[in-house]
Amino acid sequence: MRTPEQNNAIAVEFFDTAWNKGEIRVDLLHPEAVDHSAVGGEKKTETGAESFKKIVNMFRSAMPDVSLQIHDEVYAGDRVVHRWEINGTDTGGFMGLPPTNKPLSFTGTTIARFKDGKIIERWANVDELGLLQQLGIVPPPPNGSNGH
Amino acid sequence: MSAAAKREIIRQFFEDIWTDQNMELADEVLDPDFSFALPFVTLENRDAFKQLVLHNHVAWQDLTYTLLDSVADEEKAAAYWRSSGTHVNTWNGIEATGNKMSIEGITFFNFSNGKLLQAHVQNDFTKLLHQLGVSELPKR
Repeated sequence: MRTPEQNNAIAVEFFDTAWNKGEIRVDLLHPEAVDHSAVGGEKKTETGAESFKKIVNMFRSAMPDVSLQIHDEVYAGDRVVHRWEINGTDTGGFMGLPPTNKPLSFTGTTIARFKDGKIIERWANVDELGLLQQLGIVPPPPNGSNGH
Repeated sequence: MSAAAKREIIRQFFEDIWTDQNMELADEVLDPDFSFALPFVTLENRDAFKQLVLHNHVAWQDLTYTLLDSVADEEKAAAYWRSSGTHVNTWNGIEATGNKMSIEGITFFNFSNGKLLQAHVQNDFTKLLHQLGVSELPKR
């Protein structure tokens, strides 16, 4: 059993290496790892490293200069939560679209659950709408928007 | 302030304030300068947040927040939650559709002197728009 501080250090290493270097540290994932993602309004639950790998590759091919910054961390028990921001320039193009060559920035929050010093479950929530707006795929929110 | 006390405030935030509109409790557990940051807008104080809660209950019938998971240490907390309701009045410029919504989100909380000072919210906003029939989002 690792301490929450040790789990957090592993989470920082895993996400930093994935986003900033493009390398998925499968050795930091538990063999029974489960990944929950929500893309295009659809929630998906997949096992193994492939789903996270696909997400990272998609962003890194669209924005080769992508960088992840972790703004805030909280950890206790077997959980680690990060609030983060991703920045990059759309020189590769998203979802088959031509590149906009625009700088893009969006935020997200990730929860990781640990078992035996490895990540066994991941939940992420990403400002996908903000990203789509920056790409010009959906219009910006109407005036007086107060969210939810 | 203990982690357990923080988790109790987080529970109250979703179940008593968001779901049950308990504004007295909001005054008790939220700092007057409580800021509520969504990706596209930040409400700068407690009163603005209370207005948002009341406003959303007008737009959404049976607006309910369910706390699915929470994590707290000595300084901060985070929560994973589900929100559901029926769209009965104009919301975000979208006229009532009568549609039901159910989305999940993660909120990160910071405290000051035992009160909630900041919330950073991420939610499945694109899913919510799909549920309201806003269809110009790309489908995978």
